[in-house]
Amino acid sequence: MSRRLRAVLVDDERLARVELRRLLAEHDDLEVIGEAEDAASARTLLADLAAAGTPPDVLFLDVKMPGESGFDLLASLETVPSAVIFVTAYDEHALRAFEVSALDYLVKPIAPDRLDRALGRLPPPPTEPAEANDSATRLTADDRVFVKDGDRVHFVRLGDVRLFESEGNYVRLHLAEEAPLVLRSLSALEERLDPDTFFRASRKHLLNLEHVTDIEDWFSGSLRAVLDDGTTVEMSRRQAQRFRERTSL
Amino acid sequence: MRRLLLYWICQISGWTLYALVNIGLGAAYSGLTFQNVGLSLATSGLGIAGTHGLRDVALTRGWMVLPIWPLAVRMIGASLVTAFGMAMIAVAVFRVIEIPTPSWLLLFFGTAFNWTALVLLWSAIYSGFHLMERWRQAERDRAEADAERWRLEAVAREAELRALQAQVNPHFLFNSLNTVRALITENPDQARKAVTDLADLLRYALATERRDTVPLGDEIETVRRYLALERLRFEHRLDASVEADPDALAALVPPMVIQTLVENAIKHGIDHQPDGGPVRVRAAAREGTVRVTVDSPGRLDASSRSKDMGPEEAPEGGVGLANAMERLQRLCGDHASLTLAQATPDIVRAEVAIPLPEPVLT
Repeated sequence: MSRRLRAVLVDDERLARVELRRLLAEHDDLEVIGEAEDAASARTLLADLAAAGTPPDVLFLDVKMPGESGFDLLASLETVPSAVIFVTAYDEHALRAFEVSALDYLVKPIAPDRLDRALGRLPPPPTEPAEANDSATRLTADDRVFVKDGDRVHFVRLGDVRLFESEGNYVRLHLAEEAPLVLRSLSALEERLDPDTFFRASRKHLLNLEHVTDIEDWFSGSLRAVLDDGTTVEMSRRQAQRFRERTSL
Repeated sequence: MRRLLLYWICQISGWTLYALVNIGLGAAYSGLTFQNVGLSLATSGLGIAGTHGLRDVALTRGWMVLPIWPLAVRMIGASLVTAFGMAMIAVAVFRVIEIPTPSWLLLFFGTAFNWTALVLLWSAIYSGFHLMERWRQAERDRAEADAERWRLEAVAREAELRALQAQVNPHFLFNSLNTVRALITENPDQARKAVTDLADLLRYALATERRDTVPLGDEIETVRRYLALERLRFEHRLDASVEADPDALAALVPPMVIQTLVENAIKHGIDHQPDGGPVRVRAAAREGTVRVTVDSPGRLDASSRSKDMGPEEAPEGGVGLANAMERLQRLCGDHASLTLAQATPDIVRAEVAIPLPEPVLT
C-alpha cells in the first residue's frame, strides 16, 4: 500500500494557511507535514525535511509574500519538490506567467473541486524507503530546477539538459528548445550531480553523457564530444584523459 | 465626370469666343470674307487641339500634383513647345492657301509669338484651376482632421478620467474573500462583520464611480472599513488607527483618493515588510484647509523624498499615487496638494491638503 502524500504550505497569511489546511483535511491520502509564513523559514523547513528523509511530495506556494516571493524561493532551492502548486489571490503578473508556462495554480479563495483536480494530477508518491543514503544527497536526472526566464517560469528536469555552460555567476542550461540561465556555479552543480551521467568536459562545460552521440579524437590528445543536437564540445586535455580512463574500464 | 464636362465647356466656349473676336476683327479690317471666317474657326480648332494635347501631357505625367514652382516651370516649357508646334502647323496652312506675306520667317515668328501668349494664358487658367481645387481639398482635409482630432481627444479625456477613478484593487478583494472563507469556521462573528464591511466598501466604490467629489466623512468611513478588513488579513502585522477632526469631515474630496493613499501605505509599509507596523490616518481642519495624513513604516527612495509630485512622475506609489494626484488637481483645483515625505527615519507620510468649502452665510 502506498503511503500518504506529504504536503508543505507556504503563505504569509495565517488565515489563508488555516483555510487551505481545512480544505486539504478532506483528502485522506494527503497529510500536511509543515507550513511556513515566508520564504526564509520555508527554506529552513524544506532543508530540515530533506535531512530527515521526508521531503514533501507537493508544495503549496503563495506567490506574493513580503520579502522574497514564491518564485524567488523556488529559484533559490537547489532542487524543487516533485510537485509545486502555486496559490495566488490576484496577481496579473503571476497569472500571466502561469498561463504562458502551463503550470498548475489555484486562485484564492480556492474552490474545492479545483483543488481536487490539481491533486488528481499529482504523481503517486514514490515507494519508500528511498535509495541508499549516499544517492539521496545526489541529484539525479529526474530532479528539477526552477527557472524564471523573462515572463516564463518553468521547471527543468536535469536529465533534459544536454549541456551546462558556465557564464560568470550563472549556468546556461542547454535544452531542446531554449537555453535559460540559472544563478548557480558549475562546480557546485557538478559536485551534486551523478558523475555517471554528468561529466565535466572543461572549465566551462558540463556534459550530459546521455545526450552525447559521438566522441572524436581532437588535437594533441584532447577529445571532442558531439551532442545529439549537433553541437560539439571540446574536452580539455586533462579531462579527456579522465574520460579515457573512465570509458576504458 | 463633372470635371471633364466643365473642361470641355470652358475649352469650347473659350475658343469659340476667340474665334468670334477674330471674325469681328477681320470683318472690321477687311470685311466679312469666307477666308477670314474659315481661318478664324480653323485657328480656334488648332487651339483646342494643341491645348488638349498639352493637357494630356500634363495629366499623364502627373504635373498637376506637383508643388507650384516645378509645375509652373514644366507648364511654361511645354507651352512654348506647343505654341511653336502650332505656329508651324499654322504657317504650313498659310502657305498652302497662299496668304500674301512679305516674309514667311516674319509671319512664322509673329504667329509663334501669338500662340505663345495664347497657350501661356491657357496654361495659367488651367493650372490655376487645379491649384485652386487642390487648396480647397487641403482645407477640407484639414477641417476633417481637426474634427477627428477633437473627437478623439474628447474620447481619450473621458476614458482617462474613468481610468483614473481608482477601482477596488482585485488583489485585496480576493484575499479578503479568502480571509472571510477561513473566518466562517474559525470566528463566525468576525466573518459576518467582514462580509458587511466588504459589501459597504464595494458599494461605496461602485456608487462613487460617477461622482467627482464626496464628503471626506464618507471617505474616512470607507477607510475604516478597509483597515478593519486588512487587520483580519495581516493580524499582528498591522496596527491601524483612524482619527478624524469633526470639522474636517465636510471637506469635499475625489472619491477613493484617501483610500488609495491608505492602500498604498498597506502595500509598501505592511505587505512588503515581513514585520509590518503601524498605519495612522489623521484628518484635521485648520485655517480653512483640511489636512489628511497617512503614516506608515518605510523609506522613500532618495529620488522621491519630500517633494511635490506631479502626475508625470511615478514615485514610490507608482500609478496609484500619480492618479490620486491628478484627480485631486482636476477636481479640487490648484489649492489642493498631495505630498509624500519621510516624516521620521522609518515613517513615510502621505499628506493631502484640500481647501474647506466656504461656509454659507445666512
